[in-house]
Amino acid sequence: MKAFWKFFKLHLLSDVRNRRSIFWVVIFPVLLLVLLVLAFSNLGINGALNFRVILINEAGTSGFDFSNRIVDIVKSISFPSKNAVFTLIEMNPNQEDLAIKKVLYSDADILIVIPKDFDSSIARSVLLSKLNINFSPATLDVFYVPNRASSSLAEGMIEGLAGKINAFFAGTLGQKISPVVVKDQILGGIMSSPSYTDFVTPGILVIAPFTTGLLLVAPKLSFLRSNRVMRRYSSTPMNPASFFFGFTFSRVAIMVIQYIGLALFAVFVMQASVDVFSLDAFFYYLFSCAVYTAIGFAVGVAVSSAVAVSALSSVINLPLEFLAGIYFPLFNLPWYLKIFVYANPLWYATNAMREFLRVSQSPSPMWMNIFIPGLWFIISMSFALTKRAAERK
Amino acid sequence: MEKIVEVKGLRKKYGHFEALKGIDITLYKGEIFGFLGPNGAGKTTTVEILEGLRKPGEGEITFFSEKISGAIPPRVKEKIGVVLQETRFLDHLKVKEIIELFASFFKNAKSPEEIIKMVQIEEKADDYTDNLSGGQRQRLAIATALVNDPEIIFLDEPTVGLDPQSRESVWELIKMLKKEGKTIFLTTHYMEEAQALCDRISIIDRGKIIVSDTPKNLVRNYGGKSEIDFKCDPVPSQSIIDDLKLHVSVVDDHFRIETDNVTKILEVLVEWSKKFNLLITDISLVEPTLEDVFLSLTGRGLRD
Repeated sequence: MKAFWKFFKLHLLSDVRNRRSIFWVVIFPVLLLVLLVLAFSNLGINGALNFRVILINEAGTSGFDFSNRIVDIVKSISFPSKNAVFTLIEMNPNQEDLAIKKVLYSDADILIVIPKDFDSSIARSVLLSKLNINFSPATLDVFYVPNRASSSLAEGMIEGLAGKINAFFAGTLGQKISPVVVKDQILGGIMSSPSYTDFVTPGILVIAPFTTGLLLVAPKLSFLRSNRVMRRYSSTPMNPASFFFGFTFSRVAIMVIQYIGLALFAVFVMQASVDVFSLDAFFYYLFSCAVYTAIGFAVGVAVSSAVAVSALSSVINLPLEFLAGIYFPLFNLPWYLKIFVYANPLWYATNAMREFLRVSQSPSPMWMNIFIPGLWFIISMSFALTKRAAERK
Repeated sequence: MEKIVEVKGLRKKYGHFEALKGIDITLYKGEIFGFLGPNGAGKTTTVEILEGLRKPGEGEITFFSEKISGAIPPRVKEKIGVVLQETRFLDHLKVKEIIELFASFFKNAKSPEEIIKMVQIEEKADDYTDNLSGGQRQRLAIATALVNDPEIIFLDEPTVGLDPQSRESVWELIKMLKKEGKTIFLTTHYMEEAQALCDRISIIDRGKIIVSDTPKNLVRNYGGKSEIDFKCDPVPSQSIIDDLKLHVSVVDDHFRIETDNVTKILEVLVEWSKKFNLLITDISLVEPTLEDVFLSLTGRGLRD
């Protein structure tokens, strides 16, 4: 225990006294948050968009043809048409639950259900409108996740589509009529629309400890190994667990300081509307710290020179960071990038932190947000421990 | 004499490569034991096994009359001190903090102040280790090896990279430790260091100990002859040189005599110079070293 406390205290002191560490670990994440918010908070959406739309036509077998016309209209603006904005996935009425899950977990952006009575409702609406009698319009059920940018944008497009259909009827019948309305079915929790500050804050709370894992674990471990400091420790009767836990906890302590500093800065200075006092968020953060420390251990034992550690850290850091949806929402990615996203622990951590901080619903199930980073932890630690054991033979 | 460490038939393999081919070493209490050998000879493997950094292969290791099976256990490590080659410490920590850290590893540790005084770095106690000179850093490394008041200290190339003054001060420290009754296992590349400090020496080559003895005996038995170089004024003729009745060779502008008995030859030279009224100038003596011992035993230099 004596050795554990000494390791904990001295490793912590060693970093706290190091100005370079302080900059990268404490000041840089704050600067990053400020710079990102300043640069991108008013960002518009440019370029070609494509949304994944699931369509279920329950009315397809009725005698009228309105529902099939809706399907044709959606198809006309879907891939492979020119200027397609949708990628259409048609599913059967008995697959509605599966379709909802796909939208909820980001496999699709939106689900349109044309109800069974859609055609008869439109026919009734047209007839009653001619007789100037009030009518209930036909509904298009649209399932979407309001706090996911791609889903929300797709919903807006469906609203626009319904408006065009109504305009068509109005033009044909020569009177003002809206026989079709969009009935929104909200998936996930109802949260207020996040600002860019809210959106990016959970991501920064993911990036900061991840960077610490790479900057304050890997190079330090590499330094201790290449300069034979670890060997010197091993020549004493010290229990290796004292070093492991003392070193690890000193890193986690730094990460906790990061959380407190960043969270308070985001809320009180950047006016972010995030629930930084959420215990769920804090415990998930601690879990993430363990994962990132393990990744740092793996990098630190994989290579021994400082230059190699720095290069390997960059190789790991950059793709994981940019494929985590920290700075921008991820959608319309090609399949080969999706593989990286689905294997990326930072993506799951960002999703989980956004949900726990009450920013937006996680597009991945919460068990996956724990399972995939947990897998990274197990693989990284196994690699690090096996390599160390082999070195000691 | 009390045996501190006894190694019998120690072997170690790395894959198919046999690094140690059955070596025997005995260390007695209070002696400085020198372990010499070129790179790749098996020196580091042997030392690291004894320091508890590697697991031994076959063979018997006895520490303080206790037979050890497998890796060196913590109870033995409580009684040994280790100084690795060119030791580095964590950055941004003070000298005293480093010693406190190492003291926390042992059940019975001396106070950091006492250790700092012993290695004479009191004025640097509150300085960061990054600001120490090479000699001071090596003293700190030795300090970390003394915190548990060890019975045996392993010093691995303790003066590599040090300037002559710092090297001399580390030698003084090692001599002081010997005076205090510590047993020292010293590996070094510097022959003069081994000759100056060691009571006994073993030379290892290709995984085998090829010879063990006192430095004096090693040099006497395996080092070859001493060389006496001199000049004469005026330069003697060949007939006058022949009068010495010794094998005299001419090297550059001086004469050289190789001998096992320097004193006797010097007496002969004095008599000879008087007889022919010659003035002997620039006389010098080159004695064989451990380098010569190694060369004669293996046909290679220690640094090859």
